[in-house]
Amino acid sequence: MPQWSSFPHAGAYPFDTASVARQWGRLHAGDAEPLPGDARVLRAWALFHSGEFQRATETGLSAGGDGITVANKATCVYANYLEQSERTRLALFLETAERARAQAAEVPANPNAWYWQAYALGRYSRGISVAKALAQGLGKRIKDALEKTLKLQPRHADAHIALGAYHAEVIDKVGALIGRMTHGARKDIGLQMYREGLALNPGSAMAQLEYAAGLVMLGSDPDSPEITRLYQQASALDPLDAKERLDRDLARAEFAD
Amino acid sequence: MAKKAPRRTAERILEVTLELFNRFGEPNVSTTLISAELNISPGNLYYHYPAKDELINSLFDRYERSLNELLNASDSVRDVEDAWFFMHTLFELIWQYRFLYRDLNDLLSKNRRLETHFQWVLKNKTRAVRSLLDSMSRAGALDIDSREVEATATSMVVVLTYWLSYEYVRDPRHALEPEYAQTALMRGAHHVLNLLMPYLEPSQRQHLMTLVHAYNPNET
Repeated sequence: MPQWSSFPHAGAYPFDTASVARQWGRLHAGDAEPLPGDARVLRAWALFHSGEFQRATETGLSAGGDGITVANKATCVYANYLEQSERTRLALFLETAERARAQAAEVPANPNAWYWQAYALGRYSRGISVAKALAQGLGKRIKDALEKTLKLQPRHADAHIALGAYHAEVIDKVGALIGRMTHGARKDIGLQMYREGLALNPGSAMAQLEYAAGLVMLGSDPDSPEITRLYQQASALDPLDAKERLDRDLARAEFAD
Repeated sequence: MAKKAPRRTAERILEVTLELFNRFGEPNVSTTLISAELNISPGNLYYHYPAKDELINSLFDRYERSLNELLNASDSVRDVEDAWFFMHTLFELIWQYRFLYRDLNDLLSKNRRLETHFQWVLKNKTRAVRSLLDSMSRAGALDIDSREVEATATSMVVVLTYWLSYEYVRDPRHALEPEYAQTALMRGAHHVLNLLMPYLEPSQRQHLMTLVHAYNPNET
């Protein structure tokens, strides 16, 4: 595997297996992943929360089983926030989508196997253009996988947010009518999903950033007080781990010069 | 920390991207270069524009909007003076978005939105030039046989659309740099309007020559 760029605040969020286990509930309020029994998988999570995304991926893959979920999350976070090359980024999303698809085939009751498949395909779709992705039938795969995630784990905050984003993106790119007729996208359901996701995990900067972007896609004024408030809240959060730091940095950049 | 409206970042990304596309050509500008130039993380760029195509589309939408506003003014052109001003403003707009014209064929082959919308751009330009010719004829500045209007309008649109490519081929290292803008645009406006020469009323013809000379004494 070629060397990935490092997390820009390396060392700022040092986690070991004990501290990850202690703060598990708060760290996984978004993805509702259960605390793993396998020590190797917990080690992979400690690397993930510290911002060592490549080592987390490698460790998760070598552990197998629930370790695949760590690898998928670490790869997606890295691709989304830190990978500079557009081509590599897309390749990483496809690789994750395929890995998650195989994981879901093997353990269909694992909500995060479905979630990471949807997330990776969703980001891939945004990267190649949503219209093109819809034409390739990816929209249905994404929507089905997110609905499956929520059926298996109704308290999956991140899946609510992602499903909200699906509705908003489709409506933004193909319009409300075709979005609804062809892809089952509805503004009211999208907004409801965002709100439920935020209610489940109110301390998530990512959820606030996604909701803000979704509101704009659904026609809100980008300068509206509601959207400004979302960015301000996301900027003010105190990050607990590397991923939350990346979200917080992103929110703060919105206000920087 | 200075507080700014959230969409400021999205706006800044577009401004810098336009500048880089114009200077280096769209195929030579990667998203890596854009985020480095803005000093933002790749994640920040992707949050607003998940793909380079989205940047191209957003810039093109802006261009198309401004262009349509401008083209709608074509039916108020009455004489050579108005036409000169109109063409010059049109060229200034094209100059602002010159990356589109510099690598037009390449962009059309890979971007579906541009592929379809650029056909509209050409049609709208032709329609606007036709209405400019009608308006000038009605005002008595131009005497053109109705059978020649279509071909003349098309020729004017071809020169208008490809003038910057011509300038670029003549001097690839400098032609699209900002310091060459003024002369390149003048030459473009001159050559588009020169196609009207055979049809202009004598006083209007004289006036066009005076304008060309006044703005660019080296050209005749």
